[in-house]
Amino acid sequence: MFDIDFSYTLFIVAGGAALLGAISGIIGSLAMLKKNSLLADAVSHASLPGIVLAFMLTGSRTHSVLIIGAAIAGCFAASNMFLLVKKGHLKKDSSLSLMLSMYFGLGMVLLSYIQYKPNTAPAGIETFLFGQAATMLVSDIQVIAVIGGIILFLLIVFWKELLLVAFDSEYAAGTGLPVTKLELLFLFMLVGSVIIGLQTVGVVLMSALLVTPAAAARQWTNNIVVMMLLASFFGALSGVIGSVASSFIPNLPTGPAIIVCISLIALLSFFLAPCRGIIPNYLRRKNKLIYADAHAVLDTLYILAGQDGGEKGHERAHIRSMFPIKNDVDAMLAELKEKGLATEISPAHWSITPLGRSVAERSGHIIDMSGKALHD
Amino acid sequence: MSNNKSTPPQGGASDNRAATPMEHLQRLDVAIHVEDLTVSFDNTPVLWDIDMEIPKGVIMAVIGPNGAGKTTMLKSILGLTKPNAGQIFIFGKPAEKQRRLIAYVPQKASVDWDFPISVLDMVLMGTYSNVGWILRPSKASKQRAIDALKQVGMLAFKDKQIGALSGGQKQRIFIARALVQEADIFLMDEPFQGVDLATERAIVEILHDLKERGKTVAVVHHDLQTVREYFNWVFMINVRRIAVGPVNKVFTEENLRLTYGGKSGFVERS
Repeated sequence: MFDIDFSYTLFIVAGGAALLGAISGIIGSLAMLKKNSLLADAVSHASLPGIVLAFMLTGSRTHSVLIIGAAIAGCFAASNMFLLVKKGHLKKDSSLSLMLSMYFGLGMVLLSYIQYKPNTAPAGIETFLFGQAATMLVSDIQVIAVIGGIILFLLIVFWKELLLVAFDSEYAAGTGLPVTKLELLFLFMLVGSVIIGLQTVGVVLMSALLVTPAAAARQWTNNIVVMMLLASFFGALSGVIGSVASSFIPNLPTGPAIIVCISLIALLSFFLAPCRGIIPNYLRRKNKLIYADAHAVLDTLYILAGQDGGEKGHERAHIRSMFPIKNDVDAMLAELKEKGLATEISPAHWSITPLGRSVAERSGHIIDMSGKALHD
Repeated sequence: MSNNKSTPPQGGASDNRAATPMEHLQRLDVAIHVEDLTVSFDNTPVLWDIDMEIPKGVIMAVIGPNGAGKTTMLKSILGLTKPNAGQIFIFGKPAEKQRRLIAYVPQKASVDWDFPISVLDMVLMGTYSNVGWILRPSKASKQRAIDALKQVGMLAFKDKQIGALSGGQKQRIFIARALVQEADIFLMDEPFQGVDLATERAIVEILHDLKERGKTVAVVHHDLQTVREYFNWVFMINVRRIAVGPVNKVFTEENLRLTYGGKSGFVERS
């Protein structure tokens, strides 16, 4: 009997945490790219007084009541912050940390007030600090699913606009997009994704569940959609691992376990991811035989060939004119020749070889010319 | 430069004395009309009482010393900075209703080049304002983006992440993004800043092409030596409007001294 009950609870908790991690990864990616990571942190800390006040006013400990309080406080804090930046001429980071500590401090004061007040039974409210996944019910998962669904729906509908505002808000405003409204929309989405995690992960660590999967995923890809899906996967994975770990290890709280797990994934990503990781980058630098600039010369030859076919080659002086004087273009051309990537068709006339063409087409920012490219 | 054949009609109230102010505003050969524009930051005026007009079809240099308000001027037209006073009309209508007609090429430093999108994706963003809400760019939009990349000589780079590009290449894809917007007016903020020779030539070629297609272009420019060669119209500014008009009339030693306070160090060529 105990066993069945236990695994049912675990199933609920792991499912809820996975769903939560998946949604957090997606919204967190956009938040990170918008350089709004700190905003997520401030919003989640600021939701504490909202939770406590909601409890004080209604006397209810129902999850949905408390997170409405959290949402209101989170929105309030975020709008206060924008006002401070706009009207108070305060820098964004200062106003963020101001709001974070102010609201969180207020929340802690209220929390200790109700704990010592007679006739109230606040048990459970303080678990919102670090979360308590074990109390998760099916209805809680439904709340996560509904709010998460709304957030994803909004993301899909306004994807184009949100992406443009995230990348270049001035340009977006210049084309007539209502940038302020879109920023506000994203803020609501962010608040939504914070409040669904408060029960499981808690106000203190929730922002980590938003930002860390995104930071890990960014290391593996240069495609924003892939990045969001990967972040979503990382979030869900650590949700599951964290819940399972905390159910098998006594006294291990679920929220922090999830965060430790996603942090490990991030750490591994920082070191190992092929295109940006520290170790692959180190190995690349070590193996590289020629300057990164030689790649630019190769690209230039490639572009020139694209313009006129390149049968007659391109004058060395012309190629040189495209680079700063300090760059030793001749030496790079010689390097490229040695690697079989470029050839001197006639005196002082250079052209790209088919091999060079394929290397140029395949290369990313940094090219490993000593590596496989030459042999396959 | 043989730009006589396409020299636009001379803007200015004196040309049509009979027209009322409103009729004058609605003349279609005036692309941008700026009236009494004053902008200040922290109580320091950046632009002071600017009146000016840009006729349709000119390629205009905006020149002036650092802090003269050149970028602020462009941003005011785009509605990115709130003026303290003044009005701006685009083709005779209030600017805020005409934003879609303007394509903006910001300074390179204004975006995060580590953003995980490809060159093609970024250029495609230029089509967003014409696609409308909810919908995604169509095949035709994608083709336009590819054509624009071809035009700026960057097609081979279409799948690279934007951060992998050199300074000149970044500038080119900014311009490609503006080109796909199918705008009538192009505002470019220092497109020639820190680019290689090949890019400078490519940009000049694009300016010529835009002129031939009857587009209006305003370019914040620093190299006084090339003003005559690249542009047919010039706007000289130093917080106040110093002069605006055809290069061969307005771009004089006297006006340069007024603009740069006698310190331009620019000796006009014959």
